[in-house]
Amino acid sequence: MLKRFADERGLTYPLLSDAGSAIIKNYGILNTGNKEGTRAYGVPYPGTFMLDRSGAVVARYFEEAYQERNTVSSILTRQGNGIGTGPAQTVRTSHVTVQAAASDGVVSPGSRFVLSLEVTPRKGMHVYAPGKHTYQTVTFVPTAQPWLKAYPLKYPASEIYHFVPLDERVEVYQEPFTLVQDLTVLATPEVQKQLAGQTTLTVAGQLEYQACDDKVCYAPTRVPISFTLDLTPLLRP
Amino acid sequence: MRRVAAVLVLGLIATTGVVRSQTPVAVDALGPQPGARVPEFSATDQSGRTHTLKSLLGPKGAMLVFSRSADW
Repeated sequence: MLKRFADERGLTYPLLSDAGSAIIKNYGILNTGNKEGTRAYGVPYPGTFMLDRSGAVVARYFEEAYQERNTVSSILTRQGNGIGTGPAQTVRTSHVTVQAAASDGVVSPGSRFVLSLEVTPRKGMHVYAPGKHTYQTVTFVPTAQPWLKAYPLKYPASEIYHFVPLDERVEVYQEPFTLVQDLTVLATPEVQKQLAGQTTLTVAGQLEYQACDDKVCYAPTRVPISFTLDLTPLLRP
Repeated sequence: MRRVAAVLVLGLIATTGVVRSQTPVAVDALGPQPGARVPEFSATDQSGRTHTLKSLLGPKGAMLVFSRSADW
């Protein structure tokens, strides 16, 4: 069966059979939501381990629902290996340049992918990172959709900006930084029914920030970002 | 793209009925955590060849993917 599965999909990497789920149990990732004696018993929580040459875990990506998967491009994006294979766009405002990219151009129900937003503040400007201050923190707000699950936005480390006139020290970004937004196309029966026959999905949202330089704080700004991704149904054996 | 050996481990089960878990599970806490070495294993691939963790690890490591069975 694995041979047929691999041949049909042109897979050349090893597909290992875990008889009796021995490896899955030894790794401690057996899906315990399935009763013994049922067909689904023995499956793992789906996930990926990135291992170094010694076999130590460098990163891991796990999902609870058996239909959900991190796309390979999204894993590579999170690992910092490029910005993926999906559409990209560049938006310039008077304060920042935003290079937005989707990790994947093609998604299916269950795909967990990422939008990466590389923000480059103009020279002398900064935007606000999460921290103890009352300025508007830079954020990305995905447009809610019944078929979309959005995870908390991931921020890189920030730096402290010392505003001398007020002797104020605040968390900011002055250098280019990348925000990573994880998103999953839900694979529930309702969503699959809703998306049946649809060949594209539009994933949108707004980057919100407040930019300041050493003299002026500009009005909070919103930058709309939108990508159209191809939608393919789940492959069935 | 970084060259890594991608390996799929499939749980093959031949029984009946599908039950879906409804209770949220903290999946990130399960199994080997970052920094820890994953357990050794030995399993057979689609061509009948036997692989171990050690045999699969290349100069840049490996990508180990756990998935459900290929038959449903």
